[in-house]
Amino acid sequence: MEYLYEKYSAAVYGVVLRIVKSEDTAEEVLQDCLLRVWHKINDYDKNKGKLFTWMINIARNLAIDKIRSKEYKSQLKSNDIDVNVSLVDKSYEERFKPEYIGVRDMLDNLNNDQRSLIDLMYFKGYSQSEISEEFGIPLGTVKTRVRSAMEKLRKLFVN
Amino acid sequence: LNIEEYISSGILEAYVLGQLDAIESAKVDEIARQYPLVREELNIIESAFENYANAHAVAPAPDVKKKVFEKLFGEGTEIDNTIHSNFKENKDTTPVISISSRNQFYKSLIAASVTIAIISLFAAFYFRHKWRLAENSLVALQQENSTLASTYNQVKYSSEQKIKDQEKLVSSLLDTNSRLIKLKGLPTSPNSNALVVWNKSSKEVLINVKSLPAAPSDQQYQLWALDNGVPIDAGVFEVTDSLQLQKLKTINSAQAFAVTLEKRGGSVSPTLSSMVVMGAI
Repeated sequence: MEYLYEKYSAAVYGVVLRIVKSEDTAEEVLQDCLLRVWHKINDYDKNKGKLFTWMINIARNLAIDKIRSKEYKSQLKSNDIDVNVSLVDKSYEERFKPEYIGVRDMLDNLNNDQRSLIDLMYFKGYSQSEISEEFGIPLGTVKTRVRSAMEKLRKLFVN
Repeated sequence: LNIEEYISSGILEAYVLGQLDAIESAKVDEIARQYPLVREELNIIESAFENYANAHAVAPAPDVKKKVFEKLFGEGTEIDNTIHSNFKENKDTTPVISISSRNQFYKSLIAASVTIAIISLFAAFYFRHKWRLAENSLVALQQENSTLASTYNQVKYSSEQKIKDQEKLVSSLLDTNSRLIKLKGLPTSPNSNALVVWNKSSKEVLINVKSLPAAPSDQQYQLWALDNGVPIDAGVFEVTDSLQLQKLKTINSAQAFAVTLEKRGGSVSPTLSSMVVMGAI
């Protein structure tokens, strides 16, 4: 469990923080996620995918549940959203892991359309057809953009 | 199935992001098993997303780790119990912690119930024991009470009797028509004596035995009135306590009284040789 924490907590926390935009809530979600991973580890089937994928999906669902809950919405309303955004960016700079700096540079290879598509899918839980409906982009275009984004991200992996 | 088309349909990304329902993802699993290309593409997407996540990685504050592990292993004893039930509840969105604390709550509830039951049992035995003791002493007290009551009644009866006798004696003695005749011991029984009260108007005869030798069981003392030398039967009596007055037969006229020892039930004429006391009016 400690190994899991060392290896994945930064990635999970980073994603969760992007979704919930509050450090306290992100810590809460990270904690819930690890508890759930601990209790449901037998549900994980390594033939169906990587442990990280399973784990980050748990975290994402918990985080999205959190921001959709009424309580959280009213809490955010009373906060200044700008403060939250700058807070995320600040911690993003401060605690950014050096070994990922190269990866981050590579992210710049994604164009804005591709990045916002992946962000919508990854941080907001949108499906490709939902993106198409919401933003009035033809589904075929969405698929093409996602595919090319995947190609670029895949290269990061290959390197 | 056109693999290229399937791969580019977007379903694999949705699969990796956990956006598919159980049936859809089972279908993807099945296809990935059959087509290594699909499996390969899934691996690539997973790695791509993992890289994307790593690109956004932010290390949590150092104290978060401590907090998380305290929460995880602070409830260590509960985990084993809840772990199996939780595995089955895939759709469960309730935090696991609350299940544990609910378990804890029921455990303490059961513990409390058992404790109360045991205490009640002991209390029941204790009070039953007390009750038995109380009942036994109640029975003993009731017996004692009835013994006391009967003793009291006897005492009361005998003392009332004595008071009546004394009142009778006193009233007999105070009656102006009464004559007191002291019967004195004759040479055959010098220490014997008795008192006869004879009321001249009511003709009533009472005897008080002060001291007479106990009569043999087949014999009885008999009182005689002597009227002009003729003995008249005045009745038989028993030797009793000194203050008792025994009422005998009425005598119309007499000049002296005497007591003889006769056969039980009395004789028609006195046996002079067994005369014990005598007195003249």
